[in-house]
Amino acid sequence: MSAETLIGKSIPRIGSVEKALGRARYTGDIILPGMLYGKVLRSPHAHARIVNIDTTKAERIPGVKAVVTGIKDTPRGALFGIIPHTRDHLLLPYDKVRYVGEEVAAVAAIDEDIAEEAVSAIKVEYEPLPFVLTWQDAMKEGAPLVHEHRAKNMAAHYLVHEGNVEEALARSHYVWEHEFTCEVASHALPEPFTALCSFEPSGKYNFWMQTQCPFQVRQGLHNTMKVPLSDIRLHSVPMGGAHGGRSDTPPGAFIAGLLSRKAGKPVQIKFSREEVEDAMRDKAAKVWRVKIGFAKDGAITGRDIFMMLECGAYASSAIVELWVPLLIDEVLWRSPAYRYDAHLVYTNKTISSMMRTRAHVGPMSLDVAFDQVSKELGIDPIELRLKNAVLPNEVVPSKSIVTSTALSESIVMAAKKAKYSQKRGKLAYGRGIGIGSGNMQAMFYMGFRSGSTAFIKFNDDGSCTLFTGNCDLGQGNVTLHTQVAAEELGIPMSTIKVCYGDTELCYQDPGNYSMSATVVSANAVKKAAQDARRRILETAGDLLDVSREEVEQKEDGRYYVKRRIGKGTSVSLGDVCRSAFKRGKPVYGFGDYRARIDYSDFSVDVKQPYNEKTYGQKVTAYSFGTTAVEVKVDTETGQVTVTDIWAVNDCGTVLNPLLVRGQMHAQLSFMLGQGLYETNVWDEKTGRKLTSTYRTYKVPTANETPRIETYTLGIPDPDGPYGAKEGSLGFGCGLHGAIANAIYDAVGIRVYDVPFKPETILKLLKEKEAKEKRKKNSG
Amino acid sequence: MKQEMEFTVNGEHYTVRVDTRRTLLEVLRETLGLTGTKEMCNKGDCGGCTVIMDGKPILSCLTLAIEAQGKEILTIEGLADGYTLHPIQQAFVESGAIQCGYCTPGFIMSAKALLDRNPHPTEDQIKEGIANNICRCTGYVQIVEAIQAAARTMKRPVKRPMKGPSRKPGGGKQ
Amino acid sequence: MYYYRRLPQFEYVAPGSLKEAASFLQAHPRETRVMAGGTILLHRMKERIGVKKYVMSLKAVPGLDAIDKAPGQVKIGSMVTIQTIADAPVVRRQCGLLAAACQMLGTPQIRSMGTIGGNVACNLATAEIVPVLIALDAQATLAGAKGSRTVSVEELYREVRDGEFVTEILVPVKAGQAWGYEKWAMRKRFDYATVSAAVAIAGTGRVCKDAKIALGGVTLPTRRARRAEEILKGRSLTNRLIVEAAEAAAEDARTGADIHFTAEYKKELIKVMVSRALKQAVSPGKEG
Repeated sequence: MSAETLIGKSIPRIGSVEKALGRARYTGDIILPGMLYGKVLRSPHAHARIVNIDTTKAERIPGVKAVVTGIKDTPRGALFGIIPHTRDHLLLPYDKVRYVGEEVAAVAAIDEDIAEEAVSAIKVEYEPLPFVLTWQDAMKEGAPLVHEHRAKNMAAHYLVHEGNVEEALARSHYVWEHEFTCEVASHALPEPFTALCSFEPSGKYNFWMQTQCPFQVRQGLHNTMKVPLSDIRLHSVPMGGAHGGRSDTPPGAFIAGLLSRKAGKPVQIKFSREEVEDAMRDKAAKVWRVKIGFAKDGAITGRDIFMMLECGAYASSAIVELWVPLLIDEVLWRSPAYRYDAHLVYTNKTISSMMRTRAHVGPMSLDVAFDQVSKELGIDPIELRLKNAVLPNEVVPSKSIVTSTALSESIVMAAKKAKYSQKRGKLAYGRGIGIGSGNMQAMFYMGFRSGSTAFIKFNDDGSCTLFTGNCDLGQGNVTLHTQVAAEELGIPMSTIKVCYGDTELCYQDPGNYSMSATVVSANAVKKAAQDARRRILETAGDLLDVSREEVEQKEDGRYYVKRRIGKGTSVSLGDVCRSAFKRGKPVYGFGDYRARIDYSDFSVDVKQPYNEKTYGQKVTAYSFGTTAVEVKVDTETGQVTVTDIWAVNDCGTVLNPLLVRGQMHAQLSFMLGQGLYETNVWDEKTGRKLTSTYRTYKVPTANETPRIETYTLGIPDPDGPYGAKEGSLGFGCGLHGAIANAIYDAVGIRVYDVPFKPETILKLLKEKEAKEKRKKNSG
Repeated sequence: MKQEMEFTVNGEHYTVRVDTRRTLLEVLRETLGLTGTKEMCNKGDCGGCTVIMDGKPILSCLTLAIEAQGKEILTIEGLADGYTLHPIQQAFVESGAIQCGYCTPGFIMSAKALLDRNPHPTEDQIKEGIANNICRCTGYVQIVEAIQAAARTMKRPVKRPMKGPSRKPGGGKQ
Repeated sequence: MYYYRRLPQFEYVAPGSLKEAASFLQAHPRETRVMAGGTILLHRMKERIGVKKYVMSLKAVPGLDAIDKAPGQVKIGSMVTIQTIADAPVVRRQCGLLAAACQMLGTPQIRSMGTIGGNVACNLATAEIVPVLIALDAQATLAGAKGSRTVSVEELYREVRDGEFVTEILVPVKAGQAWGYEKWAMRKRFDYATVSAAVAIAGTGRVCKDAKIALGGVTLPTRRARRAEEILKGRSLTNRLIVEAAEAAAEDARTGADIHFTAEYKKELIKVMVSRALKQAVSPGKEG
């Protein structure tokens, strides 16, 4: 074993050089011989029945090679949905369209200009139907139904009730309650969605497309295309951003497949920016009503949560939004009695799905509560947090064990670094400080997402290829896996090449989903490397005429007999590989890692208002962290600027500080955007999204970025590889609570609705001034 | 409508026949195969397609290719010397300023234009210099750090640095 | 619903002289879009807004890309880019307000591509330079088939006829002019102004002899804050007077809601921007 460990080393991301040179080949950069260009015709209606689609004119345009529609070209009843309950999504519909921008038909042509002309030549007869854009409208008596089989547009309901919340609240010394909301947020991913499909006469579909979960997408395509899994291959390509937005089976890929089969040529479909924003996925708007009971000493006695979620047009994968807030909310702060009552409601909008920041309303509600209740109870807000912060090995309401947490340490450290206690209440008017905590679950309990399998094969010179189904979105998973394998094998990282995310070459992996790359995929890689190492030592032992146990690898990388005096005989890894091959015992490594998850109790049933089978270990590891922020409020315009962030990350052992720091900045930038700048707007008359560009959907730029200090705690997790757990999400989920508290500290107003818009803040400031004036006059 | 045009890209002289409605981005990527320049928004909002034309940073998606007639273009592919990275590229790699990498060519070209104009920018000037560029994976801190590092290592032109944009337009008497 | 990535069909013409350009436009006044920098026009064409049969580019017309100092004024060719204006020593010296506003417009790329002519002619929210030119009393030269004529920028949209296009902006140089410029945008370096205020004050010390206040983000007829100007004239620019003028400007301004901000909020912003711009003019270099 080499003396120096790779764990904790700042290793630049593998693949960065290609990207810096402009040589990384993304999906849209690939041109296959004979490739055609696809274009999708989309619905102009938020809700309409498709009466007829006439494609004859489009088909006659020279250069058009294929035209597809749902009715003519798709398998009947092949619905997409990640669980049976939510199989509600025809990837190319033939009955109804349910949001503006939904796929209706598509063409493939010899160039993109012709394809654009041809979709304009398709005539669709619609019967427009009334539509609903908000959950409030969707639940009204007599509201139009997005899906006829779901009464009141209720897509799904989930309830966990532990202890007796009513009783706990009634017995509490103090009960705090409020409603929080957050708007629909978009990923605004840099690389527009692109799918390239090459259908082979043998019946096989080759796909190149951006995805963070290749095996899940293959499953979705298998279910909807009705072909064997082995006939669908997703090739691995670098991709321009994911952040949860590339978790689903995209209709664009399904359509590229249909077109390629029909035309007998490879077909590339590249979306425009607006197409991406209208027709890919968003994060659901939420309403979060919470009642929190406190004992006199500040301990939480119970929490009662009611949540409404806007699902968008399909629940296919939006169902995840129903569960994840629970997995986060129930963990952070201890709560003897707990009720989580969540409802997912259909609307005629862009489909909601996974996003890295999806759970922030829950953490925010507690941080805002602590800030207010500390005054009522006369307890310091930091003390109040520490009193309620979850501790290692505690059991959460739905019965997962929290195997590691440094939440308390993160609170203390963030407060100290920010000089929170010295500053709070003492900064000049318009300046304020606030604190907020967050967490994230790593790996959760859905079917095949629970485990990963990795494989390593060796070449004659001792170099090797590592196969993992886990792909790299740019966060650095290839670097992570290489680092882990090199550490276990005691070989240079440069001799390990990674083949990743290819569904034909690699074993199944959960994908970059629920933060499983570190805890699950890297653990599988670690086990594969350990397995290979065992075989290496065995052959080395054979060559050195000793048993496996008597072989050791020294700093020069060669294998020696243990405790032998002097230099002794040794063999190299190359010697081992060559000889092992000759002996018919080639060196390879196989590693499988299953997350610590209890599957027996899981189900979702919309018919049952309460399902008792919601308990058990749902999550393998939890990450935590705390952010403190300082803000500046322009009291004349209401605009809030975050000037400073101190972020403390409880991500277990830090494997690669450079990469962890990058992930932290990424999350803070995402959270900052959703907290202060980004907002989606729909036209009430047409149901069309009006914020489909970077101009209108206001993601932050460098000029909105505050000073940021990042810290990690390095307290190991028992399950993570070398004690590591996810490091890019959990710590930052408290940022909105921190900002809300800082705004109060700055100007004395409370905000509960994300994003914190200047106009709202100005209005609240004016109300406050008027109130103060009245008080003054009357007093 | 097609027209013949000549221009220089990364020091290579090209004569191409282009449809007059093609953008420079389309011609670079599709006609010349220079796919390093990326399309993100295709409408000038994201900076992903930034190239340098006659020394100035421009958005190739909002430039008609035909209007690059006779111009000198520098794209991301023209920065490195073989496999030796340009100091800006090197700094981006080392500072962890690249994650998904899709916005990277645009950022690097904006940084190049900025440092050509102002070799010693302040942090605020750097942020202003990349104001047109959107990143979703890295945030901006490590990108700013990379540009600072590049500025330090780059050979400084003897030219007096230009006064960069001021943060506040201090009003004045004339 | 169509989502385009490509530009639509159009015919591209690039006349080589002013005369040629004028006669082409004369022949096809309603079928032609005049293109300067192209940042606004091509963006809109990709959205299929305002597409016409011809795009007439002014890039090949000689003589439109110079900044000249003339007696009492600075002449800026319509094809001079925003960045060139922001950097030009003569503009920085003689028309500080214009240089500052140009430096605050858009991003390095937009400023390198966009031209003053294009900005003035587009008559959209992106035309941040227009209020500045109005405050400076600038004029625009329009070329047409019958030769050229000069109109005030303030009257430009009312005055311009089919077949005419802007070739030059004339900015008068006034000694002893104080100025201030403020714009409000959600992302201050990226977004175009939601509202803006440009003020130019003539006078000695704090007493205002003459004032011009022009607004961005408001309807055309309320671009000039005339009542606010009257409030200031002949009086000493105290904070109280500034607030009074700013309130008058906001009251008279007609704003419209956009997808992000209400008309009322924009009025509120106008008040703040006018007041900050005036304070800037009174105490140069200080935060508003």
